[in-house]
Amino acid sequence: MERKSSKKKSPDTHGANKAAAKKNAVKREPRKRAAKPEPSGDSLRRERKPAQAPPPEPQPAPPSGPPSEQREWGTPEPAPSHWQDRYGEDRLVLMIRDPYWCFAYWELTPETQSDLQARLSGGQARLILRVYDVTDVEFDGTNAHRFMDVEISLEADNWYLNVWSADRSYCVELGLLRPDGKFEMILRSNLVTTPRDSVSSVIDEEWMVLDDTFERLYKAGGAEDRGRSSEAITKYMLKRVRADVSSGGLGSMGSEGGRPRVQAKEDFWLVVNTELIVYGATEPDAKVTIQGNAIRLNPDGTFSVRYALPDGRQEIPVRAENASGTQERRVTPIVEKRTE
Amino acid sequence: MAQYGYLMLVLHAHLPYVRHPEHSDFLEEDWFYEAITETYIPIIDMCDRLIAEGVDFRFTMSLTPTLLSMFGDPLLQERYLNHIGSLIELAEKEVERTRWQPEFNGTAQMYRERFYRCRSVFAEKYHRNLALAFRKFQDLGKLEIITCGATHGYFPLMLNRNAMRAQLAVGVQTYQKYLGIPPRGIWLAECGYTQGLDALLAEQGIKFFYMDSHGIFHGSPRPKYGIYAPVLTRAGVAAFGRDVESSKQVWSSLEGYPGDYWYREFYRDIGYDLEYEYIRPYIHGQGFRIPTGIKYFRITGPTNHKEPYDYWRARDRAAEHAGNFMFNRQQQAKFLHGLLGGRKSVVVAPYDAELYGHWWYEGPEFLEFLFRKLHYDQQEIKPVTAPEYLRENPRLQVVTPSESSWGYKGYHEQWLAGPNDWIYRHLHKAAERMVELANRNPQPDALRRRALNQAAREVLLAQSSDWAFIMKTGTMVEYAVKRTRDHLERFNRLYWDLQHGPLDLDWLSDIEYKDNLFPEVDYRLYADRP
Repeated sequence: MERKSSKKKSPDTHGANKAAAKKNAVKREPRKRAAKPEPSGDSLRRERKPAQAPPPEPQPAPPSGPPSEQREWGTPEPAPSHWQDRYGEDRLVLMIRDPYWCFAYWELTPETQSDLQARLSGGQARLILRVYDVTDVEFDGTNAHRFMDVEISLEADNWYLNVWSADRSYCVELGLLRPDGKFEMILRSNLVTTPRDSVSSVIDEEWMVLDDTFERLYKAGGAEDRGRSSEAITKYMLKRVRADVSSGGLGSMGSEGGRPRVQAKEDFWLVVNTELIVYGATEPDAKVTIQGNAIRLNPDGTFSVRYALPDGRQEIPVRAENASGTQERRVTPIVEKRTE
Repeated sequence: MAQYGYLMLVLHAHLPYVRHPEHSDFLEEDWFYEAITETYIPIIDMCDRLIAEGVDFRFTMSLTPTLLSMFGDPLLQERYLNHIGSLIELAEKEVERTRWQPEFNGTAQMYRERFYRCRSVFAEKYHRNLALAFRKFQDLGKLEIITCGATHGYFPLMLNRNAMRAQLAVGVQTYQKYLGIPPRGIWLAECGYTQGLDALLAEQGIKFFYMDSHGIFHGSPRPKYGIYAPVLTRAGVAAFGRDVESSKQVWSSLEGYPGDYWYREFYRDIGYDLEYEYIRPYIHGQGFRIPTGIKYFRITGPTNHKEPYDYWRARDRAAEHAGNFMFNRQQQAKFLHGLLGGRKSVVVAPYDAELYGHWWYEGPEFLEFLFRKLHYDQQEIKPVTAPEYLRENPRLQVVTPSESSWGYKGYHEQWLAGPNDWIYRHLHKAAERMVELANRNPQPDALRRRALNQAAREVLLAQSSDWAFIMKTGTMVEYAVKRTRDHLERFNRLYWDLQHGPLDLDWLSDIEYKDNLFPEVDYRLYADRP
């Protein structure tokens, strides 16, 4: 495709364009892009839970497995034959969500499940997750600082756990709480440590010089560290960091950056625009202009040009000249558009 | 005037691997084409202009391994040329169509000019591979390119250390392949940091990475200079913390620059607005309306009423915003200079690259004005890259950073919530099985090696944090679910066939063709180390 000059002037004879432009303001909600998560007011949970077992606020386990697919996908692939919902093992995994919440998922083999089913059926024993605070201990099942129990159903396979506090280590066991108060462990999870949610109380300073990878050795002196203590900077940072820790969900790709989004009010609405198609045909090697602008012909000599049609009167001279430049033809449609 | 501090701009350029040779018109591939037209090429053009004019500028970009692989992929290169060719055709028609609407015609001409420009920069200047452009700017010392985990895997939820190592190692290899040198720094996907990750970074020769503010600020011992100086982790890797203030000015939906009423409105696109038969060839092949990239309106105000876009007015606003941004950084640097007892602060301002141009259409103009102003108008703050900063300031406080991310609420909730938590039992299992395969197959024959390497690719692809992110945001969810399932299923089948045989060569070739990134991947990265 040849590049056209972009210096062409727009016709300036159409005074009604402004009015038309206003009418063009389409009121409509375009297709949604990835929505930005709503930043909630409490960008960080700050409340500390009391030392005893906190209200578990467990979230019900969603149905396991991915949501069903709704969209059609061109050439269908053969039905999934290697998808595995479960892996045939007894296993409990603990993950960190944030300083105050952990997530546990587990799988029980059918054998374990039916065994549990039988033992639970009497209504005496209860199935629980026991959450242990195992900070700084070599956990052996008995030496946790404290624990709390969350009752679960046999159908559940994951649970969000509201733990005591940040910067502590946790381990979870799934098991039966027997009527005699004894706990019988069936699965034990890995151990996790929740992130700190505040500045460290450790203020010892240790400084190191980067190795020579950066090709310059630090010359002893240390004058640069004779500044204020970290108190001032801590105060300064506290004001900033906590007010706005990632308030906006700055994820990649799907995030909308800072674009404010106008929510369309679902009022009834109507948009009407008009366009005009000027089309015709001549010899394939002829030169054709419309309103003085050269247009491209299709290989068979036909042409078609489309214009947004604002209110007002348009004179549209179409001129064709044969290849040798010896003959020309002119046709001038005149169109008047009004909107009422 | 004295220098008070440094400004480290970081643009994180990333797209998941969206390449679908099995479909001729695949919606998600458009993410890549739109980003090329609206973000990557405008940034490349900016660098070329600044260099030609002798403006000394510095910034940092992460080019993720998936993005680099797409830059280098012949099929996607060919498809981009088709895509931009089609946009040029549409823009030509638009220049005609709007001839009697001067309020739109100038904008139509702008698009036409820009699309032609994109084609020539892409096809001629950089021979279809945009990685060459970024590499050139790095070689000239203006741009510091950093790597990322292979597929933007989210480390804090990965758990398996061998899997983390493989993400990192493939990230380093891919960088080296396309950019010719090993990477010095890394962008951790979503700034996701977890305890002990620094040792794995050090193992890969990585010297620095970025975190969100609280990751540094909540580190221990307490960082003396907060986020205004990097810290050194126990493993000897430098960690830079994001500055909240500068981020907010650009990101915030309330106060951020991109919401200015003169800027282009993202959501009004002729793909939605114009008459169906006319726009039909330029929207999705199956006929549903999608954005084309031609948008004629400005944000205008908080209602649905939109006025025509005026590029030159918008450009003026970008210049004003650049001036305002610089002024604020100068004030901040002066203030911090006092607070830090005379030490020069470093303010780290990271953004998603696609914010600039794609979401904020005038973003590249803003950056260019900013670099010019920094160069010509002042000396208080100096744009810097991490290696330069560390050369000048090699003495760092040793701090163990805190687990964190730059996502919603600062931790992992975006990637671990109701809509996406079901994936982890599968991702963890696949990683565990991959380690098992690697341990059990030290000396495979050629065919098994192919299958093992493909298994590694499928694990990596399934681990893209993008899928979990999309599931949480609630749009395009089906695609993210399908991608997660497809890769895991392919992995499961390979795992099964490798143990119970035989391997289906046709099928293996087919998935090698579909999931073709990281051709040099070595599955042994997953093996346990003695």
